[in-house]
Amino acid sequence: MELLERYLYEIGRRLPAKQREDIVKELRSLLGDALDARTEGRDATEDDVAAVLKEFGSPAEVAARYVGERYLIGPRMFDLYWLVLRIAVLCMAGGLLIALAVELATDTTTIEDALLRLTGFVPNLLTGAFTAFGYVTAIFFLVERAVARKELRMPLEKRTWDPRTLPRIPVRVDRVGPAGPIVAILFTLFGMWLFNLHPDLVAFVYSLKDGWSHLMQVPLLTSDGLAAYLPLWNIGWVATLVLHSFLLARGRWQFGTRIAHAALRLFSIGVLAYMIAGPALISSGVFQNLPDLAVVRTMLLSGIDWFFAFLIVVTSIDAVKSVVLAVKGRVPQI
Amino acid sequence: MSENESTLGSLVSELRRGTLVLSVLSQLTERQYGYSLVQRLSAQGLEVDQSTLYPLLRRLEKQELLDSDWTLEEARPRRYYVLNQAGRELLADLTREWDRMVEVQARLLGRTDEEGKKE
Repeated sequence: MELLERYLYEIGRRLPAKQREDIVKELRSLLGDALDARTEGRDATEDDVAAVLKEFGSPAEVAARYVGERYLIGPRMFDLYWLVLRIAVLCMAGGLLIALAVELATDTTTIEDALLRLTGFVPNLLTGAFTAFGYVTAIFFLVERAVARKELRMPLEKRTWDPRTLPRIPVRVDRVGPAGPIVAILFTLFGMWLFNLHPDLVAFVYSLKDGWSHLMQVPLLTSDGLAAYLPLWNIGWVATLVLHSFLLARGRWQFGTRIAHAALRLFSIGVLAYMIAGPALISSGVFQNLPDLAVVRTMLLSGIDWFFAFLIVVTSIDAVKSVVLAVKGRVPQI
Repeated sequence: MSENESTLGSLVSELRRGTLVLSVLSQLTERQYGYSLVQRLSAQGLEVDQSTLYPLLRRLEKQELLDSDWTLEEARPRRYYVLNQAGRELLADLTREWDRMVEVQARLLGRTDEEGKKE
């Protein structure tokens, strides 16, 4: 009977702790019955036990039948998971690439250093990709557990949908492919990362002598300006992320997203106006000791407001266009 | 085994899997323990893999269609299963569905005409 206990132990250790004792107890009883049927009253030999167990199936198989199929991320959520995972890994890779480019352009002084950074990039990229993978998977796993349990209890019939609620096929101007939102999300994340965590990287880099060995790095932005505008930028960026995630999921512009886009544009106009009126953003220290670049310096310091004004015009046009398209989309097409 | 035969095999086992719950419920109007149920099914021509049947019984109990209790008086402790009220109702509904399916299949296979008369 030792063989039987070994068998039961192997099954038991594959079962959830809560049901283990009960299932094993039942199996011991059932296998005993099967053994009795085989021996018909004579004493069971080890061969008898082995034959009964063999017919019953391997411990892994038997345990699997009790446990049923289990998913980390079920088929229902898998498509969404796959989409988010690709975006996350792409954003991570894109962000790291841009960071590398910035590093190479600013911090690198020698060819050896550049090579070192380049070789260090591959493990960085791998670590980044795995981190993104880990976070996305963990979040989806938790959602799966929470949602799947609830949904399993809901009878199929209740999860009905009405074919009449199917959206119209979007007109060409309303169609949104995945590339646009993904690029927007990527750049927004990069902006958030750069201005929040590494504003020092936004700098003018120049060399006093020829070659790469005497690089100087002068911060381009004032800390006063950053302190005043960064919170507003962050609000705009988060709103942009939400809007483009929506566009990505829906695959089309709709009335709500058009209006949200216009509102976001209005907000940008307000922020730009404030940037013209408020504290200076460009550091006056830039190019100070470079008489050759005096013209550029003047242009940068006084022209930046004109640039903001230009952006206000462009943004206004975009906002108006958005509202027009939103209203047009509401009017039934004849 | 030829490809055709293995396709047939997997389709047949799918059919059997679909009818297994009905077969099992039908035999549980009286108390049965796992092994007695296997023998009962087998005596009536249905050979069931034990390691499929036993987890199924627990699943049906979890779905609150069966009641179970341990009996200690016999040669060894045994867990008996029997239909409860919900199980009996489900068995009746499922049987009706089964009858309808048989009828439709008979028609589809050209064994009967629309009034159910044999051709």
